[in-house]
Amino acid sequence: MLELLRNAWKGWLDATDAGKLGALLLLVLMLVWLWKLGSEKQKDLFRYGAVMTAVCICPVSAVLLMLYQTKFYDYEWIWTAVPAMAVLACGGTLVLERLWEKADGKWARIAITGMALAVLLLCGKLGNPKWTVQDVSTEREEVADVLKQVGEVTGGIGCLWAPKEVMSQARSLDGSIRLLYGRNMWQEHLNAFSYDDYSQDQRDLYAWMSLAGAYGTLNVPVPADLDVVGEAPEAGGTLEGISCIQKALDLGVDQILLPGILTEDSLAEVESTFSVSPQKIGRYWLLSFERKD
Amino acid sequence: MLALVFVAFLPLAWFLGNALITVVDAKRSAREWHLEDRVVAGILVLIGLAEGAYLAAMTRGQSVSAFTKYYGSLLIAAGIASCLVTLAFAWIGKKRGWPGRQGLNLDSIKKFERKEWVVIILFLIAVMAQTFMILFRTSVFLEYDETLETVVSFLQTDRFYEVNPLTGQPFEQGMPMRLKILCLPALLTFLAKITQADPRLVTWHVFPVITLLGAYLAYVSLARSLFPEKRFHRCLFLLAVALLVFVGDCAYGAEGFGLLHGGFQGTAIRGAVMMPWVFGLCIRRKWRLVPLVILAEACIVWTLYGLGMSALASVTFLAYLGLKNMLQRRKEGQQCLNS
Repeated sequence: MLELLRNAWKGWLDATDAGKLGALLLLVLMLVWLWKLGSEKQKDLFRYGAVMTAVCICPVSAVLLMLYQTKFYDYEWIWTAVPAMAVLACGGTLVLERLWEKADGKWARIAITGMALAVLLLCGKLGNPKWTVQDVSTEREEVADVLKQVGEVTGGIGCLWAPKEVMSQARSLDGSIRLLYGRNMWQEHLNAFSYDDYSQDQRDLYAWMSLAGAYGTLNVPVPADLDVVGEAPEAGGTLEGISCIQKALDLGVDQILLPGILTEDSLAEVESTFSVSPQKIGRYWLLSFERKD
Repeated sequence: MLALVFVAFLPLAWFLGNALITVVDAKRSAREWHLEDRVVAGILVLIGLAEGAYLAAMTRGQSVSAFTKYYGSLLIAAGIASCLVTLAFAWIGKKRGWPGRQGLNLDSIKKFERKEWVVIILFLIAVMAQTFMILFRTSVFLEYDETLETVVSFLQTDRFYEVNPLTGQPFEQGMPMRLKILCLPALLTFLAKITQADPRLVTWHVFPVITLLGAYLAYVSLARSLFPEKRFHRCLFLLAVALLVFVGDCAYGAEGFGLLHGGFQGTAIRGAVMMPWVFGLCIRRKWRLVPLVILAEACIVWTLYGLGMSALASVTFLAYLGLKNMLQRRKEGQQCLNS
């Protein structure tokens, strides 16, 4: 319960951090109340909006709403019950009308309109969202090209293990490809869509692939601040590339795309151990094994 | 083909919504319900039909192709039924002398003031800009979503949730039933399948435009509820909504963000189409169609065994109105006693 309360309060702080729409909503509600604006129907909307806004801001009542939406959805979604946009648009229209009435002359009305517009736009982030909206076009094209080449070389992709950017796009590009792990390996929220969980081996393999792409070597040290979902490999230890590739093969992987940054010595070691010659595909090295399915 | 489906969508939604509203509120249908209400109601009916067809196929372990056939048949049947209902009620209405629909009054359009034209044009520019943003954008918000992978999996395997959409591997433990029964991925699959279009195009670009359109229709309905007499205020309200969509782009969970970056998600449709319409219904005291919204929400977003946000909002609104009436009556009673 305490954690839920903390989440509710943190959610409100996060929401106010992303923009100032919450503050604008409260300002509009205050102005329509002070100036007694609106018809009876509009007042119904404002009163309901004010009550629900208070319910969403107060951590205790917010927790109740979060429980109502079964904790699966985040704090932000309880605001769906608040007609924020309707209150802002309706209240804003009435406030603007009142200000126009009080304005002296055409230019004063134009100035008021301009200022109101500026206030509204400054409440957002002006095209700079806090939440990362992924620009997928270039990456998708690149990954699609790589997958096409891998398919041509291997005669069809089976189970693939590759760096994060390939793994995140592969399934949405080609439904026939199977992956060692999906986006839910690093995007924790997606785990709510399935009861399945990853084994520690799979988590280690994800960590190794990320670190190999950074260090360019087969054997990589595990840093203390490794950002992984679930239990991280032991900090200070080493993840060995050869044993990781062997683990991947044991887990049923047919093709592996290694980061292109890997040194020639590393590739030679892989070639001698697994008797497979790496092929350069885009900025990756392809290891293709006999398909198991 | 995709363009054809897109163009046919509005008349189909209007047709279904029109029949539903005629049945639910026959006497007042012509005068108190407007085009936007009929289209939004039609969108909800389309969602409901998709859920019916999807559950029929999914629960019996049938294929995506079977679902496509069921949904296609349901649409044809619903279209014919709507046609018959509309004709029957028009005949009954004529016999009983129900008030007819007001035709399009060209004179009233001519009487638009200059300031109204300015606001309308600005509003349309904003809507067009948002439509182009959605159609031609290169960025999407994927952190909480696997819709595209799900649609691609459905199309590839011709089965519902046979494999984990994110990995393509068979499920070991399965997935929550409350998510499995939601019909939105199946609806997107249906669109991609019948149009033979790229699932990415349908999911990330075309469907969100339909959501945007539905959202503005819901807000037109709300504007009419809030400003029944003042056309300029309605226009201003809609322009403010369009600007707020841009401003809300900054925050995850805000309607603007959902519309511009995730119009294919159930939460975005709920927040931007269903909730404004349900608020409009509550303000107009049109309770009969509220259950339709609640049911449609349960088909795309699952919260507390189907009791979603629209149920919460309408019950809270009803409670508020009850309290208001009670206080008003008490006040009137005291005034009577005093006098």
